[in-house]
Amino acid sequence: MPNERALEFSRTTAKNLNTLTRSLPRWLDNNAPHANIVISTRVRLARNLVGYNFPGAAEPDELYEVIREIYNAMAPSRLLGESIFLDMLRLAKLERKFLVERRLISPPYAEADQPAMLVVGENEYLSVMVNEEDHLRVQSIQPGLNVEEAWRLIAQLDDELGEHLNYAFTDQFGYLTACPTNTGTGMRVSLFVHLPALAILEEIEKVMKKLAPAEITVRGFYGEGTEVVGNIFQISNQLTLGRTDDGIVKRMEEVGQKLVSLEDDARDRLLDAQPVAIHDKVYRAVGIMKYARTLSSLELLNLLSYLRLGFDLGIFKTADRSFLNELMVMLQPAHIQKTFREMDDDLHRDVHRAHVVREKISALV
Amino acid sequence: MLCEICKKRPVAVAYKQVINNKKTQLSVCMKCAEEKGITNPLAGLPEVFGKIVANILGEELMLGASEMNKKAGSRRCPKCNTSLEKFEKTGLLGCDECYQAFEKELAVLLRRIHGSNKHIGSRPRPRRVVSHEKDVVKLRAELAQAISKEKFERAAELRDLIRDAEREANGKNSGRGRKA
Repeated sequence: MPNERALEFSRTTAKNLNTLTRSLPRWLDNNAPHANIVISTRVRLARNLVGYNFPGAAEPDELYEVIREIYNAMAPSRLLGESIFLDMLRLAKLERKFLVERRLISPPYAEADQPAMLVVGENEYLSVMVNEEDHLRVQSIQPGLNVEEAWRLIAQLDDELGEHLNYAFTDQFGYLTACPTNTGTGMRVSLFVHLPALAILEEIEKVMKKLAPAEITVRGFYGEGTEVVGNIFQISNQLTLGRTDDGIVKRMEEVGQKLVSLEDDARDRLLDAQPVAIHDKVYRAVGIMKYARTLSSLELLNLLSYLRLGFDLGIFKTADRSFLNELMVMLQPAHIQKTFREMDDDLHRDVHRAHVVREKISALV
Repeated sequence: MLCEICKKRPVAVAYKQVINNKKTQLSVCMKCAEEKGITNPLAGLPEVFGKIVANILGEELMLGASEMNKKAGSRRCPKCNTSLEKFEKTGLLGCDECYQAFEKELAVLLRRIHGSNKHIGSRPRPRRVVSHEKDVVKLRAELAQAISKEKFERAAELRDLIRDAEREANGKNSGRGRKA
């Protein structure tokens, strides 16, 4: 069977996934520009190959061919030199959920029942979903506000792959994508921003209205129609056609800067107007984190938001705040369950989560 | 922030867009978004996006009699067999050639979504290994087909691709590449 051979990486899927579970993504770095407000910056490109139907309209054989072609095109890539390859069809529900939590795949991709391949680059800065809505969804994540660096890396990878792949492209419409909302550059820049002061002052809506002419869209924690939790918002560009790539990069960098200054300003006002209320909120969060015997992942995200704010406002003084992002990522349900197989229900995980948080917080605050 | 429709549940989808001075703005919960079929078209919910596609196409193109609508809706892409009707329903095209098959409709739709229907961003890099003989043979067959169907724009593209492939086979650069 040529299809079997096409997926020579398939056998090592389980081993590769375990490698991932044992490491931390590098984009959690806290020393990046504006990392106190912008948690991470992501750029993704949508690309399709000439000669194959888009994944939604393709037969499994065709999708195997697409995987084979892309896999071969990646072999000479320098940027993907240390990558791991995962055969999505070999992954169980829990493992797919783990990848969603890790921001390596989208929720719809986790439901994949068609041939699909996930490629994760070294330190998780770069990754590629093959056969999502488009043949390629290339993603680049950087810590903090750093659209230019994320763009530099992804453009380089796009060029590397483009040397070996025939991308569907016309002069009129640019890169052709399954959904017309991505046509053109196929580029979506997303900023994950922590805006607790604007949220407490109920100014998020006003700010977003102010930014609306910048053609941006706001989403929740896991993107795509999910809820806002822990005061973390995902801000993305909406328009992909009739814009240059550099124009989108610049625009989103500006949006990020603007949000940082608006949130900074809101924090100053908040501390001025209601210092007691803010200290109270932050210390209550610490109290719960220090003593709670169960913590749901949702509750933890909301508590971490106040703890983070406490550090940003100088209420606590610790040089190393990296544990904030670490707890945010590593204590998600599938992350816990992937490490501790036996924790297959909410109660077990909530107890474990509270335990880990207690130890961390007692040592720090 | 509460949903602007039910005023009960928290906002899950905030849809804000200003294109050509036309402003659309709505913050709703997931349930209302689903019920009303209004949600962020970019939120990646294809079926909901399809409704928006249908609205836009309906408004712009299907002002004629309902019979005509049906006729237009049943038009299909010759390569992947996706119909305009299906595209309206799912919001997803079936292949790259749908962009030719539904060029007129897409030009209108894309302008409505993006405020423009002309790409000005970067272009694919020259391919180093296009010149597998198989590819060129495939491209030539496609070229002949395009000419016979009088799809000259596509034919010109294919001609360029073949030329690029042959040039690259001779070790020359095709001259395409990322714009600065």
